[in-house]
Amino acid sequence: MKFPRLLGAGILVLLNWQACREPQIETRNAIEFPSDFPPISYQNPANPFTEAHIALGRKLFYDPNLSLTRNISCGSCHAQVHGFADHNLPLSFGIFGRKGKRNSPSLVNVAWMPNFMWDGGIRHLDVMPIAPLTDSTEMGMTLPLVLERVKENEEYKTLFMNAYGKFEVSETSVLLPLSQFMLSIISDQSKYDRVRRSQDKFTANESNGYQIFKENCSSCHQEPLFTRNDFQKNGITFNGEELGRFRITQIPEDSFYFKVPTLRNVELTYPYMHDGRFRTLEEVLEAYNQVDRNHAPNLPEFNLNSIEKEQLIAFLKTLTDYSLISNHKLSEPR
Amino acid sequence: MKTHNQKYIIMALFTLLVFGFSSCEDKQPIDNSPKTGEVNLEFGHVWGLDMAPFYMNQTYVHPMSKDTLEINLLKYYISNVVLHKNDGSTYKVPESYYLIDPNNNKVRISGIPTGDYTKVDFLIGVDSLSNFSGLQGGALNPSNGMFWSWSTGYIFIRVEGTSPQSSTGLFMYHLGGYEAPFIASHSKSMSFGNDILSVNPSTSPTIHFNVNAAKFWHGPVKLNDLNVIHNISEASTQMSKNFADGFILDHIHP
Repeated sequence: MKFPRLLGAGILVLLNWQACREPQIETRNAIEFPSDFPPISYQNPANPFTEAHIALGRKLFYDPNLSLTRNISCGSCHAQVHGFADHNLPLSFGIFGRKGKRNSPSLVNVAWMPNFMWDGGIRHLDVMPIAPLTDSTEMGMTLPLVLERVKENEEYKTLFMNAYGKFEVSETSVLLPLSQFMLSIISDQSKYDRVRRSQDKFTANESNGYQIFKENCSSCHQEPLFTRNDFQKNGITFNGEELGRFRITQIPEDSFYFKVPTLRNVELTYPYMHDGRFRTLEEVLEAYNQVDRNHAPNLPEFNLNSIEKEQLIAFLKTLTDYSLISNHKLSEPR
Repeated sequence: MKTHNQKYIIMALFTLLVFGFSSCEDKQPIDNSPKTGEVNLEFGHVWGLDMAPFYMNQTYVHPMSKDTLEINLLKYYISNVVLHKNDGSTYKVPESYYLIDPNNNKVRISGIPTGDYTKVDFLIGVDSLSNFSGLQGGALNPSNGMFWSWSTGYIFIRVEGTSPQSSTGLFMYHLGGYEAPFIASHSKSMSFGNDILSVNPSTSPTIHFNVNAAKFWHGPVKLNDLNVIHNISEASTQMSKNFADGFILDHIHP
């Protein structure tokens, strides 16, 4: 009887000590990362996750006013129904119908990414949106103009009040909630995950495909994220434009190295590769079958017959996360 | 005995609780006599060997390349300021990041411990960590036009203008890079010689530097050969080094 009282007093002391340190209204962590995933990469102690910030980020993510022509939002090229990749376009279109140079990558599980973009040029999620926002072929804005577009929109008032207690628009008050919304795009509810958690079983085809995956793919597309977020030269030929990692490091040996994308929701994110050159998974696997090994130094022995390819694809389709694409918390707010 | 002990512990915790609450009130500064002063850094911009005053939007002929040119934009970062005292101790100015241009060329730094200083160190550019620490404010705000959106990192030095010798009529050098082999930040360490920078609460001394804008094209770099830099490169590293070599300590103003 005495001990709980003692504990209670101790907790009160601790709480009040905490209260002095952190004048935070809401301290509950609004984003739950799966406990059977590795620790997340994202770090910003000044951006504690709250429902109010995520709600603001969600509004910003889907706001076409954040493009010069007011018709392109983040969600335009990162569509929920396609696992937050583009609407199955090889290359994405920006303002004035300008065609981009790369296939929009999926935004699932960005919390685990130490860098962003096909060339890994961006090294922190909080500054990542600046690239598409200010790129002349994408959203065509300047940061001050982005802030203006938010300030002029009365719809933001309540969202800012809820998150910050004031309607104060700054680079920080806009970009940090955007990060929070993107961090909340977590894919861990696919059939593969259910099997891993002993809640479901693979079919014979899927099971064989999983073995083939482990032998041929998993060294780069490492479980459970299905990427190590590193850079690989996978043997695809030069498209006349993109040198990949070289653009960032300016080291000639880094030419044709691109960031390895996750395979989660790969069924939904076609077409494939940095320029969307392959329309189907069959095409991708056939390309790996015929790859010039001089240009794919780390590719394991890869020689799959048609049955093996079919089985591997059956497994890859178990990575589709239907609860992600139907999660109303991630959809465009109405 | 046991019960007694627990009562004491509860009382002790309660006392802590009460004191804890009182600690929430604003803390009053205990020491009312300030032991700090301020120092100003002033960057005067000059041109060429004779250190003529430099002005933006004015036509100059480069002393080495003989190219004709006019600078319309010149901005650069000064960061990581450290002051050395005559007793060998140092004071590292916290969060010292400043964006300098010829029209905003003075920096006032307060909170410097009183004493006699003999040397100043600083970085021309931004230290590597701050290049990829995420979103930052003040001088490092990405809205300042000194941030590469597509490749994380700051433009340390930005110089733009016009020249008839350039094939496009323009030049635009965005110099940055914080990883080997393309590092465009350069540290400077400048001794005050026989002078002493005396910091105390009642004065506001100034360290005057001269920055020679002609140094960019030292070598010489011909505008016909090089009119654009917008990524890390050997040329960027060399040009930033040239510019850094053009910083000299002019005088200390008490």
